[in-house]
Amino acid sequence: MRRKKRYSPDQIYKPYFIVPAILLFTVFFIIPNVGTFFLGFTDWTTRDMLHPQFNGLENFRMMFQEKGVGLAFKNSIYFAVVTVLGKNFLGLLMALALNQGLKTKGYLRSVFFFPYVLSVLSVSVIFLAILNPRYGILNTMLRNVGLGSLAKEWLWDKRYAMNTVCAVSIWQQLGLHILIYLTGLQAIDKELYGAAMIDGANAWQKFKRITLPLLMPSVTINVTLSLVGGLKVFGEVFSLTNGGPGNATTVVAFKVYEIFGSGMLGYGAAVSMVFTVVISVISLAILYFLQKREVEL
Amino acid sequence: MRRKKIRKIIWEVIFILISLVYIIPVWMVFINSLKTRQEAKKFGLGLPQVFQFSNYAVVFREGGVLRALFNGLLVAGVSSLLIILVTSMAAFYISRSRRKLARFGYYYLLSGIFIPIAMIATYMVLFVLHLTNTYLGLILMFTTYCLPFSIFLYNGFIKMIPRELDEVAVIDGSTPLRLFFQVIFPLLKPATMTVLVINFLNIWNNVETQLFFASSTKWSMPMTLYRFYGVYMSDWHLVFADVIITTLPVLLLYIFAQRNLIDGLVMGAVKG
Repeated sequence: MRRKKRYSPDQIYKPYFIVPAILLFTVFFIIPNVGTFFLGFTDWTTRDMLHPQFNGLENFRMMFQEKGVGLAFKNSIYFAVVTVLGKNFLGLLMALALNQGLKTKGYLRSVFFFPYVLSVLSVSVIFLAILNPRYGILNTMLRNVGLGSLAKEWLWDKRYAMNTVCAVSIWQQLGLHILIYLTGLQAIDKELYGAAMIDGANAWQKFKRITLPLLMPSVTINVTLSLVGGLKVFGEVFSLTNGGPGNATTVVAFKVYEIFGSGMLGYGAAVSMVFTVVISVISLAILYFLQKREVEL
Repeated sequence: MRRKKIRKIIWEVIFILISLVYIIPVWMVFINSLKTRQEAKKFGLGLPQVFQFSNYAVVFREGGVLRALFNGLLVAGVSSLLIILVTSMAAFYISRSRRKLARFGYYYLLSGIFIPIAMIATYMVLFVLHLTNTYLGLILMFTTYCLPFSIFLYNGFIKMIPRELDEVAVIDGSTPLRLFFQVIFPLLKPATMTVLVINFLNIWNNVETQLFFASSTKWSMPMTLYRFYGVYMSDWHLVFADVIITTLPVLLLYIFAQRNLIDGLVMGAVKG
């Protein structure tokens, strides 16, 4: 007991342990983020890198006039909503089925999870082959089972491109969500189900009254992960459709990339400023909402 | 009991069928990478007439494979090691010190989990520091971007190590740095493995940062695969061979570190 008094924590835990992290984070993350809020109000271009001039709300006026930006926001949000629903609905369903003690669980776990470790670029190249309208295996299979009318130009038709990109993303990341739900399911006390059975509860009641409430922490994680990833989506669009056909799959991160390429950095900063605010507000609101539900249940 | 068994077998069959949605694409890539140009164009799932192992040699020559392998190992490797050093120490301070700096550091650094990267303004920072299109610039950026999640992971782990250990070590005359590297860090090994594998993979697979801030001579393998596809779009036999080649390093990592990887990703997420 005596020794605890002789050593205060300040003597053991020195600030220099955390300073490198804070320094790096400040220079390469915080300064750019704060800087965006200044540069968004300037005419900064790649031609004159070091002398951005203040130009008031000009960039924001442009943003509202250019239809593409509004559409990009709409597309990002659409992608996020569809993939959050797809990843969570399918992920939960598969986890519930997998949780019955299947013998092939180890095999399935490895197979479903594998695409998650691949680069989104590799996945896209593979799907560009699978979705090839003429010879790709998807359309070939549809034709072979007599569903030729369902064979579409998946990535090259405005009507289907966005949903196809969503589907590829779900295909790649489903494994992670299944595993998070499985971990959550395995943590639920089996005796609760025994008690419910004695009370005569049916399968749906058991799911609604026991499984779902106790699984809320996993739901929070999965929804937050897929939502934040979905709003920021870039790689899938860049590699599968390059924003096309037309602007059908141009999402915000891709729009920022296009503007960056054109050299209008001030304008790009303005777009990404709005983007940062939108993402932060949506993610924190959802997180707050879901965590509140966890407590209530 | 019997009905239950049958139900289980039905589920097994259903899931094996579902898993084909994942297996068939892999098979398609593999088997077509060994066909001729004309055969591979049809994406058939049957065996090639003659196995074309030479496809791999062509890709090896034309795809800049070794350069990309070197780039990836250098950038992802150095960044991952730097991340381990910086984040394990920071997390140790955050979870132990009762000073305001520790609390501030926690919220400050973890804000990066939600807030997106400001790509365009980052360009200004790199420009001013003369780091555009350099390995050092990439390494520092990746290290920064991996800080929030890694600190978060380490933090959960360090909390399980009793504080008394620190005090005993200091009484024995150990300095704070020796305490950390000789006593604490070895105990963090499972977390370190996870942080290493996950960050290595994320950096290796990164698209946006490499695309914005580095030219193709500094790209990692997945990026060069995409460029290769752009050039050899109609030579699917070669594109598929490149898919296999550029996937091999990740596949090896997956085979040897699957437990670390899966547990780490799931645990890291669950602890939030």
